[in-house]
Amino acid sequence: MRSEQEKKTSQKSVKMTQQEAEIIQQKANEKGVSFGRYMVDSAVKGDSNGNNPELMVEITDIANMAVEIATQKDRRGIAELKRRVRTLWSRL
Amino acid sequence: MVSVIIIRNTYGGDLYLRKGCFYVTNHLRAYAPGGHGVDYTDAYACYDDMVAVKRYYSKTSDNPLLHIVVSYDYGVKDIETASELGRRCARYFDSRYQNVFCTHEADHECSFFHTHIIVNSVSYKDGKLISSWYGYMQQFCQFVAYVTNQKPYLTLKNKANDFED
Repeated sequence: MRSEQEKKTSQKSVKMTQQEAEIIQQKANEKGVSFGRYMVDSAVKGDSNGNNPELMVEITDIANMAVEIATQKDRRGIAELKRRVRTLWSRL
Repeated sequence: MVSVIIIRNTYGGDLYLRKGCFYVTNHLRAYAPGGHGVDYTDAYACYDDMVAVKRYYSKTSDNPLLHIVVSYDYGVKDIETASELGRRCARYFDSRYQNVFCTHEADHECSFFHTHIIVNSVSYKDGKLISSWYGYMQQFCQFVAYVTNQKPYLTLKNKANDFED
């Protein structure tokens, strides 16, 4: 069951021009989310330094590949590589 | 025949996810661990990576994960082959969900080896929760059949699993 903090219980009504609505709807369609969800995500997460889960997944996979290669040949640099990935996650 | 067991523990919570990550990354037993979008070499990091996605989409209190066990029949005679099959089966979820997997050697009713796949219930793409309904899992079974070239047998379990074989 979802916690009280994560339940979507707040509702707002906003006004915008027809053109603004069309732009937002198009962007929401491109991301595969609803109109309202796109607006909320843009406002709440829009300034997250460009980090998002998709980017983090990609970076993590690259790091995993680097570790696999490194463990087969040379262990130097592995710790630093992993530290940099952890720092990125903490900024999410 | 390849056995595909889907274990669903909707109320397992944070502890269930933590146990799952530790179980699959346990270096004493896990053979050829791997993953997508998580640090599969470190149980704590693996857990943190999955929780980070849940927090990003504000879905930390929903069903924590999907636990899948793929058991190969006696035709799979070495753990290297089993682990490679398991790796390819886990790829099914890569486009939308973080996952971590490993292969164990254990003599069950009809198999020498099986692969555990832990799938984050929250998609890193759009935050949607993974569906474990029968039809969707049947599609995964068909993928497993393609990968293993074995006839799949699907079992859905709803009770809690403490990650013991």
